[in-house]
Amino acid sequence: MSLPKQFLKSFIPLFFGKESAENVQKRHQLYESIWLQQRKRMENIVSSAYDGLLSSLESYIGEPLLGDQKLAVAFALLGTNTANNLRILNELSLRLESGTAIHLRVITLNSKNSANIKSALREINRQLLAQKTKNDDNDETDTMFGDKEGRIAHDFEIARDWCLDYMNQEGASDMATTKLRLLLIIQDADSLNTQVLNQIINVLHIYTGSIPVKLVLGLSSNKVRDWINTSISALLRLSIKGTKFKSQDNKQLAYRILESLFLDPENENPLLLDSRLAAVILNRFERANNSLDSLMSEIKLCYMIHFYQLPLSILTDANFAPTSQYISSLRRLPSFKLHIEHLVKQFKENQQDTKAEIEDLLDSDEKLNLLLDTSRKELQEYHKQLIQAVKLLQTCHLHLPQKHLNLYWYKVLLGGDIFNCVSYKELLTHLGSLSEYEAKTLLAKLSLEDEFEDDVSGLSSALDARDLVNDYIKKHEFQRPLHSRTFYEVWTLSGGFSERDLIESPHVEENLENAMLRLLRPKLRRSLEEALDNSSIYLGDNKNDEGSPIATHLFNVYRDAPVSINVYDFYCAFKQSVPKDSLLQAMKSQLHESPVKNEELFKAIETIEHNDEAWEKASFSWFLHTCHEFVLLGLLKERSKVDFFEKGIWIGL
Amino acid sequence: MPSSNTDDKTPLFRENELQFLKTFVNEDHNLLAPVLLVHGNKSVGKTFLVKFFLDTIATNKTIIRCDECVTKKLLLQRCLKNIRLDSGVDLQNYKQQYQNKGREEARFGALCDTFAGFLDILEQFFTETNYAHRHVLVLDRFDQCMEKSDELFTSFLRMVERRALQNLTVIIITSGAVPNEIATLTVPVIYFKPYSESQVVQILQLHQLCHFQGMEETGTFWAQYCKIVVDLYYSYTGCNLSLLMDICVKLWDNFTLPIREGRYTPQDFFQVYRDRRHLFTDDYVVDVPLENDDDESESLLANISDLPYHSKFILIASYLASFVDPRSDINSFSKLKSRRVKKAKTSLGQLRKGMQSKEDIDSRLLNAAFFDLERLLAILRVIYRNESDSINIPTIDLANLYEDELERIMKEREKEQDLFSLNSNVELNSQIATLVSLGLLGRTSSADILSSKARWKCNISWTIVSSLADDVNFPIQNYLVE
Repeated sequence: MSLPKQFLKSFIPLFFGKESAENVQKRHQLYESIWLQQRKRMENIVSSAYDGLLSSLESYIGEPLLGDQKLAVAFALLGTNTANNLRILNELSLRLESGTAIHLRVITLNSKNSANIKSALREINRQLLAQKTKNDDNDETDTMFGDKEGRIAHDFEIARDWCLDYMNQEGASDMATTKLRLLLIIQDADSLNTQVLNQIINVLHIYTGSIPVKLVLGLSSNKVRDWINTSISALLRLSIKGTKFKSQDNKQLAYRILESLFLDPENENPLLLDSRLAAVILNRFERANNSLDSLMSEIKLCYMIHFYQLPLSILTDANFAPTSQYISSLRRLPSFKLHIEHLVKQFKENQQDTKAEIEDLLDSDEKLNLLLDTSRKELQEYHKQLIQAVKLLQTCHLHLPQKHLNLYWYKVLLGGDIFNCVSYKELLTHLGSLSEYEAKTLLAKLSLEDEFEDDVSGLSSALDARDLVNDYIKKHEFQRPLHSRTFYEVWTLSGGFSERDLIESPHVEENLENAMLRLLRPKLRRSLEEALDNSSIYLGDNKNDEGSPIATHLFNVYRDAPVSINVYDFYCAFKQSVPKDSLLQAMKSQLHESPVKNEELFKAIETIEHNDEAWEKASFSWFLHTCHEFVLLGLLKERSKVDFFEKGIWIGL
Repeated sequence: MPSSNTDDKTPLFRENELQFLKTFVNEDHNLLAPVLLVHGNKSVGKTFLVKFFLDTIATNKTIIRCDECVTKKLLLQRCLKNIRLDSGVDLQNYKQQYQNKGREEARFGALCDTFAGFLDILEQFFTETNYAHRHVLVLDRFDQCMEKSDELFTSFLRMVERRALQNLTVIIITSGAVPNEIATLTVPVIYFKPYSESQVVQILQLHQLCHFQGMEETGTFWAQYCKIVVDLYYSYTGCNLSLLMDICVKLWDNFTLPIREGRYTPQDFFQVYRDRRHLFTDDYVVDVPLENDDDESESLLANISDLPYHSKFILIASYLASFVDPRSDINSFSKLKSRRVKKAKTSLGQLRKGMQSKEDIDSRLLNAAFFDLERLLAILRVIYRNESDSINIPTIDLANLYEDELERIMKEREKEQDLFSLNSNVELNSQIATLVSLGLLGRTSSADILSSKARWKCNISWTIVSSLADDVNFPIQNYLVE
């Protein structure tokens, strides 16, 4: 596989740079192939998910025009996520452009390029004449570039004449015979000014007799009738003929993607999903950002982090023979330590004589290799059983009122909490109370699956069904969490960690943190404040407070200040807080140490030290300078005219 | 009322108006009215009659639909262009050198910046081609031009002052009253009276819009049908013919269904009417007909149910911020119980006078108040910490854990409850932005959203927010009670 160079660059040799280039390349190839496979699965789902909507829209556009002087308007009911909506409509225009059945010109308008009717019409003309350069807002003087008569840019007759020309060339005599379709897509009809929207519809309606135009409105609302009644004027409502198109539920789609990626037995995905990461992904999607694109990029990021950060990820490839470098790093894994501890405990309790085994594992690379192989097989087996168990639980779950997602069970099983889980208890009770008929249907359903066929045979009562589930879970030791399985780290996506996580306190539920999440939503404000408060994180250890930058001093004053700060008071407080002597001493000593001798600066500091006026000047200039920096950071705002600063809006809530 | 004119093509009940038109648009230049105002209600046949009249006399005419002109400049350009085209002058041979502000102008789009410029070029055209034929310029729907065009009234009036344009008549059609600009000037005005109910019925009866496919039909069914429609809806539509026609066409298919099914014949109008009577009281009459409109189960939450969990909380917080008095924030949202509320009781005297202070009214009945973003975020923090299901997992879920484990988790959870704030979540801002673009949150227009001047407000109603609160299990009543 030939690889683009810039990708190789991002894969740096790990093991503190000691990883061989060959292995880096290999790691990269592994990443590419595994991710490619997963990506294809996702793309298949996503592209097929909107097939129904898109093809019905497509055939709607291909339909003959309405003869009765009404404007054909399609209302595409999309979700509340604007990114998703945009993608669906973009896909629509891509599909339409690649289609050949009808001659189609797609024009896309959105609330940004149509702030008023003039700019909307200009945009239509521009896109129709495929004019690359964008007109600025100076519209009174500009004429349409590319129009032979040099008409004004928002003259809709340009578009009409273009259509008439096209129909002439095509040889079509009138609207009924032409294959041309002019399709206007308004991407965010909700955000578009209603007046502009009405004007656009009005203009299009006037020309419906002479040009073959159809309109598609992307709505983020499901209540189309209400929307029409509030947004389109009564008279215009008479002149349109609406058709409703419903899109698929976006949330279900995301679950389908996750299931297909991680819970499909046919998917040859060698990597497990850490239970914490599963929670992070699920929470983020349900709570904070319901965009499919960001879900997909998150998953990509997880794979990237796994292969970028973990040198051992190369072991995903079963044919790779680990060198001693890899072996020694395997020995440092927590799960290996746990394994050894387990053996030591057994030895101590004289249950088994494991001394030789322990020594072998610690000394002999071959033995460790063997252990690696067995644990690989075990994990693969575990992975399969896990997926089966999720399936089993999900099948048994059909009659319960509260239905959990597959990924929820996956999370619980991985964490080893299954026997402590309330939902599981509920499930078992529920199974026990099934009627005979229900139990039979359930068991019959299970017997259709190859994996459960043997277990199910001969069972008939509800209690049998309950025991079946419980036995299955017990048999495959799901009470043992993933984290206790040897070398699980190699085959598990964890979303990575950043070093700061190790320092900070543990989190539960909402505050789950890992590198993936940190990369997606850095805590900008907090980092800024922490850095300003304690400069040593970035500047290295300063022995005393005095040597810290001016900004730190000002920030300390800023923190205690009220929302609006009088500039003079601010300055006075700042001047008070700066320790003059020690600061100047620190500056001087730094100048001494620096290789470049700057005599002038040294003299300047001397003057500041002895001359009070110079000190005032210097401190005031520092003050102004730092204030300006704070303004740039967004911590402060300048009020015009008044001598006040205002604190930035995000007071540390 | 029988019509005096039996000719099918002549508009009905407009004989007087037609006579007026004949008088004012005369062959003789000296008798020709330079500007003529035609006004009357919408859809009473103004444009139709003017077009009909112009077709009957031999004249050059130009008809401009003003509602498709975005700006005045475009309107004037259209006039100029179409007058040139409709004049019959051979434009292949005659090439006009446009003079714009004393300079020659090649681009058409640069012309007609002002009305004077328009007149100059028009005059130039008339004189250079010796154009003396009678020409009528019709400005249809003049009041519906997208840019305010009132001053054009007077401008067109002044057009007579140009000698070269003596043979041009402008007919301005508007649907409003006589505009103030020209009320004091001597402009001939033709007023189109609204049709009476019986006139509307007659007009509709004469124009059969819908037919039975492949069935022998008599005019009586349509006539009766029109009568019924007008009887029922005249008070709603007035004499607006296009609205009535729309209703006729919209209901026809459903109304005649029993006939197409063969249950009745077109002679049995009253049986059909009795059968289909419910149609006339249905919402359908005023609604927009939508195709593919299968599921009508649009719940209250339909358009916001797929919002992410946090967004729902933001919406609830915004509702609280808009409808809870900032002064009672400390009672509603703080753990402090110590502060006592001094409830200002309205004195009896005040009540007798019918004076109520703002506090006496249920805040839900008041307008949504604007609030600062910080207040929203602060409220969000409190309500999310108190009510969100992820932080407040019921302890029964933990009952199965071992004791030390339980203790640890309880500790952690407590700590998190104290520390946790949604505000560190960067996605919060994008969610707020999305809510604004969906129109669920409103804000005072300001370029800088972080400036203290930008104020926000909740844009959803109580019904929506209460169903939203049910959806996320949020006891919103607890926070609204005084």
